[in-house]
Amino acid sequence: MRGGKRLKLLVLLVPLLILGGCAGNSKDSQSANKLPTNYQTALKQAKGQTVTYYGFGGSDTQNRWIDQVVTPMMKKKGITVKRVPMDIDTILNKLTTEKEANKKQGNIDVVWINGENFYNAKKLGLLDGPLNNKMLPNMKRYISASDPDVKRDMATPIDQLEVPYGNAQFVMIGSKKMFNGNYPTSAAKLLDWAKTNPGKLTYVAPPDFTGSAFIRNIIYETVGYQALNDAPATKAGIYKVIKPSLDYLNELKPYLWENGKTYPKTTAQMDKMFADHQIALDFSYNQMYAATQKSTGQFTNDAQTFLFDKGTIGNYNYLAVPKTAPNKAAAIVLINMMLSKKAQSEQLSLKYGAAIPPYSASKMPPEITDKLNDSAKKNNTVPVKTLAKKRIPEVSGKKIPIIEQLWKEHVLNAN
Amino acid sequence: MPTKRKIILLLSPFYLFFTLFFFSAVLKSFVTSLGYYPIVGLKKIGLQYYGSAFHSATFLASCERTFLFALFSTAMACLVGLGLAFLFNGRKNNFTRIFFKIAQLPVMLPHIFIVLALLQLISQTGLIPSLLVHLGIMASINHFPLLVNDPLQIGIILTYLWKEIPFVIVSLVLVLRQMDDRYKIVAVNLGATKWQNFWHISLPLIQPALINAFIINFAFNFGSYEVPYLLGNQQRELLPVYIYDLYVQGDLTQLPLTMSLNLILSLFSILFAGLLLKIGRFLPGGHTGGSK
Repeated sequence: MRGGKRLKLLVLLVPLLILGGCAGNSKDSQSANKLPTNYQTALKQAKGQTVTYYGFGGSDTQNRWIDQVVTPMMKKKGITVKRVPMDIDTILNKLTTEKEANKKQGNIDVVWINGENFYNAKKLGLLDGPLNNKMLPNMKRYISASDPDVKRDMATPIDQLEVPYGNAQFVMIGSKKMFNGNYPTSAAKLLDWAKTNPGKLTYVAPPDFTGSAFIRNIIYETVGYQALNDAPATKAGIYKVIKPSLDYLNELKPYLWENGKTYPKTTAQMDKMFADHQIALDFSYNQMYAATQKSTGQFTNDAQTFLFDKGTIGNYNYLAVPKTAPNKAAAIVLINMMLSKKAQSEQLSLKYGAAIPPYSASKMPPEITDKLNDSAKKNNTVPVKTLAKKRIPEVSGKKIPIIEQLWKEHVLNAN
Repeated sequence: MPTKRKIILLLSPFYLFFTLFFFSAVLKSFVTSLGYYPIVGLKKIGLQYYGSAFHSATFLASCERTFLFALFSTAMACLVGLGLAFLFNGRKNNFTRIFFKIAQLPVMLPHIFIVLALLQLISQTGLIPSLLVHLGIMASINHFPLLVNDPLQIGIILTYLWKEIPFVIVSLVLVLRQMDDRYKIVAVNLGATKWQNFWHISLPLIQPALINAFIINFAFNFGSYEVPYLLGNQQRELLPVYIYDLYVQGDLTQLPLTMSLNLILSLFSILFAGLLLKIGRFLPGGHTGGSK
């Protein structure tokens, strides 16, 4: 009996010993390598290395772009790209856990990041820098350092810790037939239309990314960007400022699909409702969404992209290098490659999601501008110049969950 | 009969895995839920997050709703499953044999499969409403009743029933098949009615299996995320969706609160399962049951 007990105790202890062992080992691991000082050294060091890119897994078109365009271009430089699809929340959790465990070397070289996730990563000191013009020739060539989106990401100072690589802007997609060519280009017009055509509008419920952006766009329409940007990031402070917007959404609510008692859960659901003409209006955070959807047969020529007269929210996707990245030289080469004209103009094709380059308006190569304007004519999207003119920045990432919370309390669950 | 030592050794691979990954994760969430999360500068240890959880009206309302919902859907699955299991077992012919084989299929298919099938079939833009419109039975797809994301949570209940009724059938039929028919024959011989036969013989024999199935289904219905996320109604948000939303909102200082909610959910599930087991012991067929 005693022997049995001892054995049991031993078995109980073994895993804990292993756990202890893990914690002990990680402290002795080699110190992380440093960022190279310039692009030439990076290129030399990176030969023969493998660079691991953690990108958003949910975008097929972007994954295809990495696999079919970027990876072969890197191969020519003698660098292998390993792409790991993962949600940014999960990536950030992974990096946070690594830091908690005091791990010096991880396995993520380049990570896709923006907004509140960048705010958190910066606060926790997870990212390496500076990533700047000196290291990235393509950044110097196409992106001017004075661009607001190079300085701040959703109101968080970037401090050379991330590099823009994709440009996103909120656009409305309306049904030509249902709107009869007369698109609601302001919140007021939208409400009027809803009142005469009840049940034909809806939006994806936050915390869905797109639904959340729609609500912020309504806030910009009703109280203005500046008011929200100046509001303190507290629940009471934001409530006071956005009260008229919540009132607006409540006024709209009974005229929504199913009287606003329920909302679609995913953008896929909303796209389907739009394609079936159950609703007249769809949204996207990709300016060319109507075109890509048309190319896959989901939407028809009936889909017309338009903007609010006062503008819509725009933001950038960024790339960053974690402090624990094992191959920083190769990471720099990859980022530079993703910013290159060749990679970016390939990304404009519909099969790669037609993502607009993060280039500054003044430095945009003419062939890219032409391509975009051509698509505007063919696929009923909005020309680049108009997009740039009607672009409003994002507010601080910290405010977004608060707005979503307020929407839930005062609109979704209001009587 | 294997010795105790042998059992321990046989269980050790599972146990090793369990302790390494599961137990350490639970431990970590527990420590975080007490407010110790040094990476964002939180070091004050205490029960403050549990306190604020129990003071949050939204959380409590969601808790109550989720509990009642899980209880209702589980009870329904168990009752229907029980009825069908007896029906199968009572008539043994080729038809019931094939039906039983088919009934095993949903047990193997994952929930998400059924969720997607329901979305494709019975949402307003799904196949069935479109078909009805094409056939001229319905004027427009807007006339089709809302069955997913609806206020009564019909979509979620359908998913759970589709998956759990077969589960109950399979676990009960296996017990029923091993049941000694002589008990029944004797009872009938002594003049027992059909009902007495069921209540005094069959039910006590299958009761432990039924309670087990109930616990497994309840734990799932109470803690499942993907089904209510995709099919649920936002106004009647269920607990797992509420917690996960809080978790991904990206405010790391909220993490201790999220973890405390998570542990409350898990602890409640475990306690409720314990209670059910306890009740099972006193019911006919339990270890202390049967005698008055």
